[in-house]
Amino acid sequence: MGAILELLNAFTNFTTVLASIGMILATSSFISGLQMVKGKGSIERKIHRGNGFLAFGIFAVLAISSFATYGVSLWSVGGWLAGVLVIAVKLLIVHSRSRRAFKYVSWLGAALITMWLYLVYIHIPL
Amino acid sequence: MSKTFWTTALVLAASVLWAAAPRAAIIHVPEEYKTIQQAIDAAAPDDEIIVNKGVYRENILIEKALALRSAAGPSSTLVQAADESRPSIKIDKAVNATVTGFSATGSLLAGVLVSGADNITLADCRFTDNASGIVMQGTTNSTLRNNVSNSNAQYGLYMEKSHNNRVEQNTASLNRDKGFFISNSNGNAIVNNSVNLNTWDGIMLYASTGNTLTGNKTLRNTYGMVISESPGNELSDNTTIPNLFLILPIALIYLGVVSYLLQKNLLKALYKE
Repeated sequence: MGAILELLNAFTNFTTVLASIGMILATSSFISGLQMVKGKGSIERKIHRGNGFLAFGIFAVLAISSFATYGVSLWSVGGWLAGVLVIAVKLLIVHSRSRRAFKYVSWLGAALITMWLYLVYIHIPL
Repeated sequence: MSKTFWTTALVLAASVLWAAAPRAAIIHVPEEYKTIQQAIDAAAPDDEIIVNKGVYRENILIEKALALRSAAGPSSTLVQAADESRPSIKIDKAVNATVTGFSATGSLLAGVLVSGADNITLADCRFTDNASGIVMQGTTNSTLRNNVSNSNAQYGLYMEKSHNNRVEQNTASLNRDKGFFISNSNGNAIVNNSVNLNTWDGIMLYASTGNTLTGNKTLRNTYGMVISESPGNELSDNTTIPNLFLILPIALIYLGVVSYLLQKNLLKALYKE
């Protein structure tokens, strides 16, 4: 009961809610991406793109909110740019349609999930 | 000599003694004295100084037993170090002094320096943007309660050669070195403090023994609690990684999988693939 209350209490913070939604969307996008690699159909593509696009939007909102709240510093800009870089590299590889590059896509997907785990971690209210 | 005579004499003597006995005065700043230091200098031992809200640009030095408190609390009563090379508030070799409800900032040494003192109470204060928030040196039997010591260049609390003190329900966050640095100090009780988001250690205990650390939260520091060359301390119920840090990501991944399955079935139904 205590753990559930603690869990609910975490969602009183707006950025925690946003980061959590981003994590859920990123997970859905990741699973559908893996299914796409296996050659599944257009539904997987829709889920992957839709969830990925929304997750990126949330990523952008969280970045803007972070700059507005804590100001702009070298570390924060570097961190958010690293996230953008992972997303951009993943998109580039997917759109390149190169068979050699394609085998790294699942690793980049895992990197994105790790990035979202970190985003959730830093947004849990203390 | 009747019984009435003796009773009357006793009552008279008691009245004279009561009237002559020194009583603690209450001094108001800035109504009676313009600066806090003037009020402290004028105060007799055990007097109470009540400071109204405002910004006081001075370096306060307390060397006697007195109670210094703000009327409006730390959010509207600020002591800004006039000479930034000295602490904003210094309690030096005093016994039985109390400081309550101030903010102190702008010192390249400390928000408050408690040095060689005994039985000091420091409560409900805020120390931000100093070199260190609270510094205790050679201080004994004192209490730090419900203070906030955030965003200092070094430590939230630096305690050195200080023994048998009680540090409870304080917050030390976003300091650019350690939250609490307890060095060569024995027999202190560090209880229910929140020491989060500091650049290096949350709480560091160095060359200190016989301390009790109970119910402290040290979250998202580089190192939660560091005990170095310090045998014989008692640690219980401290948290460095709360359950929520594990439960929430697992719950979110689970929801992600559920969300994927729901979307898949929904889209299947829509497009009849």
